[in-house]
Amino acid sequence: MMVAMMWLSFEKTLRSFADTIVETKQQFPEAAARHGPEVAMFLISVHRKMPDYLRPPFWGLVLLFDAWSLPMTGKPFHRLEHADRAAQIEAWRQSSLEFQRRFIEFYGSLAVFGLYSDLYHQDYL
Amino acid sequence: MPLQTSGFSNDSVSADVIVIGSGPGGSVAGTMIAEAGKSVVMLEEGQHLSLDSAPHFSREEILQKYRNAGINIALGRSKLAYVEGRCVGGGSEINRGLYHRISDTVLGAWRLACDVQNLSLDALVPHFEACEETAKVEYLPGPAPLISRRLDDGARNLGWSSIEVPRLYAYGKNSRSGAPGRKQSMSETFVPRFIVAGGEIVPDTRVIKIARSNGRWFVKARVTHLNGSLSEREYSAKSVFLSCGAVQTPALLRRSGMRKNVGESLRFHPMLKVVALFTEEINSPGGLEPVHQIKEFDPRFSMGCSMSKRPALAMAMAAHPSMMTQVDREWQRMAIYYVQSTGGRATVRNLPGFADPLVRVQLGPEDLNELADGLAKLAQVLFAAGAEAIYPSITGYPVLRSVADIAKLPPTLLPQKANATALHLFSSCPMGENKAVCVADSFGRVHGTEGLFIADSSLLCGPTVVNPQGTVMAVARRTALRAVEDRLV
Repeated sequence: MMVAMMWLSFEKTLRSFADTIVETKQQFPEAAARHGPEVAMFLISVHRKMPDYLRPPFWGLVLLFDAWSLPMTGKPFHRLEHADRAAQIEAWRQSSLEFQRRFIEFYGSLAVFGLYSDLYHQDYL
Repeated sequence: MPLQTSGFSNDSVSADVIVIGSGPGGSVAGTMIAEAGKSVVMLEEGQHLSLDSAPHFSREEILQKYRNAGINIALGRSKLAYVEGRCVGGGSEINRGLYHRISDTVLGAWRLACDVQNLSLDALVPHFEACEETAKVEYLPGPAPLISRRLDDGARNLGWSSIEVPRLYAYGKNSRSGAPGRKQSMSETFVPRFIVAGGEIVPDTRVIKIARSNGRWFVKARVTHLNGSLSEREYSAKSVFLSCGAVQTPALLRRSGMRKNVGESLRFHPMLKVVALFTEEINSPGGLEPVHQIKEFDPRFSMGCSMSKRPALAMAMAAHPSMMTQVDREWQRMAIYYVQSTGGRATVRNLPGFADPLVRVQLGPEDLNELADGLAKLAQVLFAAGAEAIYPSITGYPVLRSVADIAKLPPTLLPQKANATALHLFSSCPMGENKAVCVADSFGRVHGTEGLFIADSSLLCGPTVVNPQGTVMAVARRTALRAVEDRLV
């Protein structure tokens, strides 16, 4: 268990989450490389700036999300292949547990907002 | 009530007046006092950025100018997401600048509830007019954008009252559309005037606490330097104006040991949003902000249009993830609309060991019924405007495809599903002579203190029903001029 905990990573999870959302939305593999880092940095920056009493629970939720795949695959979320990561996001989105649905709604909408800010910058001009 | 504390040194930066916060309240109050010949230092927690430092409601703007990157959640059975500015100019930099003068009916209710002296529309008009000379308020010079006109069309079709609302905006004079124009935020208007009057603005400076000692106020602040390092600095003044906004002002007062009635009565305009899909294209890149509001049901609730660029549409469609691809395909036929009421109450508290205050919100059954009724009316007017589908931004709510579908909406909002947001917050430190509920007197002086004033939305006695910035500016001017007149600064 201790070894598994050492594999978990807050930032790598958000980076992988951002890449997965971007790739799923854009439907081409290069999309994650093109837009993923900016979207991930947005998610990480939002966490750094959110109210300080919310940061620890959100940090814990992200690590829980990372650890969710460990019992079944032996790998945390951030080390899964794209298809498996997309499947885990969809499973949490459809979950009967409210906190899982809310987690995906929160980070999913932020990631899409971040991606669309990149893709549709011209809308602001 | 005022503290007499130790822990403050004699080595402090001195001024006649310190204004804490540079939003509409602080900028107007600071300018009035500086122009009266006083030395004024205005401390602002956020950065001093130009209006153009980031596009409106972009990812960059949220990180630069929104407090907590826009992630503020009032907790309770119902949760409420709220937004505050955190930069020079405060909320005026991030809002859309829709402008109203408050009604005498609302002021009458405030006088009654809080026993506020000399507060009427007639008494405020000179303050509104004076503020409007510096921060220009204009109607669109040409037709409103289509997403705005659709709402107006729907209201007319139903015989409801709808108005075009002016904005704190100087529209371009050489274009029928009014573009390009310039938003009249505080960084564009009162802050430059404050500096011309000799005021000093100090950004990146968070006030930790204030205390009174030997007839002066001492302000302990933490400065964030360009390299990210922090240092402490102390200021002292004869008078202090608190203009940190409806959440941060009560939090600072409570941190400073002043708690009576403070942060007990935070009010807001809870808002629900929908995305409407129309049969024709109504949304175009670079379009001007929508300006119509439906006032048929005031003061219960009002309706309006939101900024509807694709990133905003994506956020608003988060409750319907399976429909997200429609944003990509059909965004030009989509726009965001809202209904906002005046219900609900909240408290502001500090948590031991944390810097950010906690807001606890309560939306009662009547508040939730009102919002549910407002949502149904919003759907009704959008169908009357020609919408072919309506997507409520509430998880689990059905997509509405006809007027008949409105009956599928629950008759009330479940507290845990309410998913409301609030852009307008007020009334956490109301003014008035009713000391059972008020924090400050009728002219903003904190009860039981000398030289401590409030000049922001926390001073208002309840919801303004309309966009509050005009009222905040007028009341702040009234507060500052009265303090000067009475030689309290």
